[in-house]
Amino acid sequence: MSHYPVSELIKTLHGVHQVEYWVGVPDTRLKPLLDGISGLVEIEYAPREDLAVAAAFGASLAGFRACVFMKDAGLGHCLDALLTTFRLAGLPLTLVVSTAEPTTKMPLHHQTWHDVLIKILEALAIPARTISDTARNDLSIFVGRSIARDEIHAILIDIRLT
Amino acid sequence: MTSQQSPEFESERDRIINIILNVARSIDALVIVGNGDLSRRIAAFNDGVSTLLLEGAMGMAAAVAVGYSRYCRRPLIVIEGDGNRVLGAPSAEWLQTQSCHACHVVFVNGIFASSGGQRVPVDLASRDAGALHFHGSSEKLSDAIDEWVTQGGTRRLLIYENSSHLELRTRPTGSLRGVTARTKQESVRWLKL
Repeated sequence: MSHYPVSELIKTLHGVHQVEYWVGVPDTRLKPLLDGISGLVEIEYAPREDLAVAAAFGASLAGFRACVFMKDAGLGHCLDALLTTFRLAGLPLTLVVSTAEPTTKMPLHHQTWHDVLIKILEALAIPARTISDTARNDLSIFVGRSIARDEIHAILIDIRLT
Repeated sequence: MTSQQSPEFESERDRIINIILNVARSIDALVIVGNGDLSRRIAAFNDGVSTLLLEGAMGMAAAVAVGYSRYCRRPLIVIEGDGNRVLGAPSAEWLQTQSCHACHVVFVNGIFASSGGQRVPVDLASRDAGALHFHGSSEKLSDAIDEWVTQGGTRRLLIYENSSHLELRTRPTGSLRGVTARTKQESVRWLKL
């Protein structure tokens, strides 16, 4: 799969699983998703990824399901926030993390994060799915199961959203 | 203010916390507290006040308030030390941009008290121009908080302390998980009103 329909992703997260609070730090690859979501709810842009996680935690305490979006490098900013808010309190959170397509032309800083992203998520016991190799129905089942288990979970955007 | 006549407070910090929590109780505010001594200390005061005491998540109390305020009109009081404030620097400014009823109280003693008294690397006194600054007058502080209660909006208050007079508290029993569960229940109740 070389691209993924953004409308399907929005339907899965906002429509089916009622993710209402969208907060994070923008990234080029996420622009189609953010453009689509902004027509439905007001997106909150955070000054840094850890603060986005904290704000999502506040929204969750107010009873609303949250999504934090960021590029892969942002994950490095928010490990403590993830563990000491959502993980400690046992509340679910959807992470949408953009990462580069594995190509030979990948810039070095993208390559660096691409190489460790999955390992970091595994080390944190955060289940993840990449949209390039996950069927649409499976993605919805994955999100629903993670929410039911009060888990932090990640959707990795590794191909173009159209 | 009755707290000024109460002999049971061991420190100025306790006396000021009592003032703030009395206000929180009177307006049913949610009090979000950064980690460290303040969180431990406020756990001992937690009587009829809704509190979220952060464990870890250093510097993130104001950001939690940003997300909470998006969906709940309940007044919010954020309390943290200057070490937290400096670490989470953009979150204080972020909270100030929100259309909510939030008072951000920062205790300034110039040190990371809980970790042994190391110097906080940024002097807030000269840098936080957007805040109201208080040096030892709890009467003026009470007036400022009362004004915030009446006028609404966001407000940031910096309270200067003498770090050599601070006796640290031990970690409270109970955890974020328990406090969160209670806060979450209260939030749901609030949303149904």
